[in-house]
Amino acid sequence: MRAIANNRDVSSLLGVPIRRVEALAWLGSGVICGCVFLLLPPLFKSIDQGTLTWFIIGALGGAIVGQFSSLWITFFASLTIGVIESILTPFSNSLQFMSDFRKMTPFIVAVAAIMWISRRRTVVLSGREMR
Amino acid sequence: MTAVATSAATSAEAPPARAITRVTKSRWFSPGAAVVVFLFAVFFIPAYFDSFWVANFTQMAVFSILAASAGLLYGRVGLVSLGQVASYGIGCWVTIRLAFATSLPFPVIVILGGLAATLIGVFIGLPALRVGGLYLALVTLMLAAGMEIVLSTIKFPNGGSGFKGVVASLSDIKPTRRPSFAATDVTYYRFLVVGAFIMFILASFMLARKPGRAWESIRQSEAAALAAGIDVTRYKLLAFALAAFMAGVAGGLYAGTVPKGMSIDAFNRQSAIFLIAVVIMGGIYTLWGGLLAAFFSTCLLKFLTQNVVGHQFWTRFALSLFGFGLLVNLIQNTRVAEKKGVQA
Repeated sequence: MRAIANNRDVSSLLGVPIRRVEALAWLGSGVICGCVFLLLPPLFKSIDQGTLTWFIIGALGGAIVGQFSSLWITFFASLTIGVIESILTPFSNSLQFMSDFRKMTPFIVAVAAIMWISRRRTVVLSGREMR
Repeated sequence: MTAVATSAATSAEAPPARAITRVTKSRWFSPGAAVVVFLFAVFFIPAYFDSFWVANFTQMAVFSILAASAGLLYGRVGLVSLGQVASYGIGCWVTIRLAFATSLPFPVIVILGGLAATLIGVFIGLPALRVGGLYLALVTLMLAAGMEIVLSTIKFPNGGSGFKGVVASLSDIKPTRRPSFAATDVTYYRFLVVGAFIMFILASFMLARKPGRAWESIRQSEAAALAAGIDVTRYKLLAFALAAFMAGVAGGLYAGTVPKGMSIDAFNRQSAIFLIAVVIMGGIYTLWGGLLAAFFSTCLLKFLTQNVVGHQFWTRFALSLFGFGLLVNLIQNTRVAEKKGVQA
């Protein structure tokens, strides 16, 4: 799986069964995702496609911090985002805005992470020649 | 040998601008065809369609500007932005707020709404300039989702006082004003078509000139564009600004189509993803793609859910059609790119 993530073409030349490994990756992530959504119903009054989209976009925040490569960083980043969001919930009166905008936490964290990741500007040259 | 040398010398003397125009001419918005479509939309549609379809074509005119702005960024500059809906929402909010707060003519407040969206679009664009591809798509999606939260929290103005302009009770909601010369649905539709036409001409004007050539160069290879002396940062920002302005103006024009109490539904994250799906289905390499995308997402969708046999099925599953269309489009594009030996 790591070989394919690094270079799909070279992996196929080395004899890695690309399609099988990719199917396995989809299967694995599908199973994990399915298990997560089985755990969700008790937490929400109603679940529709809107809630699920919201959930996935929020979860992407944690994945971005982990740069799509580190499961541990993703796990702890998502946990931190969730904790920050919960801490911001009980504010009222003059700090009501913090409570109102608490759902923005994953997005703010994700945008900050992307800016940090790309703090040095690089130009990527294509590996192949463009015709 | 002499003949060859002479022909080479002649071709070297030919004005390069004409050659470049010839290369890019077939790919921009043909003015003749645009005028025909414009006249058809202004005179034929209101005369031969009932009010239900005029309302759908009104939505189509608004959506075509938005789709053209997203297509321009993706197809002509190579920047995948899912944040166009945010600029659309900002344009709409500012236009409605100014419509209640001032007595300025409607076209002026629409332009002001577009300029406000441009300012924020550039502000978003500045940090996003450093990233590309997947990260740009994600950062813009995050910003669109963030903007949805902001708009749903502060709500759209509906005639109240203060910065937000929101009334305390539902019975006090005032209607959003339209221009005095376009108060009815048909005249407002014509006004929208004129607005969309102007936006398309503006985009095609930019594409056919220096910025368009610079964007084409950046799209093909950013490194080559840098090496050729193109100010990549400036032209990318210009693309963000133009796209945000178009989306902002579309939002401002959309404000007049909803008589009372604008809702967040048109500006949420699903709309952001839906927009990019229909834009890819419509085609991203010409501005006509924006028009086609708008046709798919408004008129075709309504046609399927209203008139076609088995419309109850389509009411539930019509949106899946766009997901399917997007998949087919992307798989086909990847195959074509692989055949040509170009990285998708």
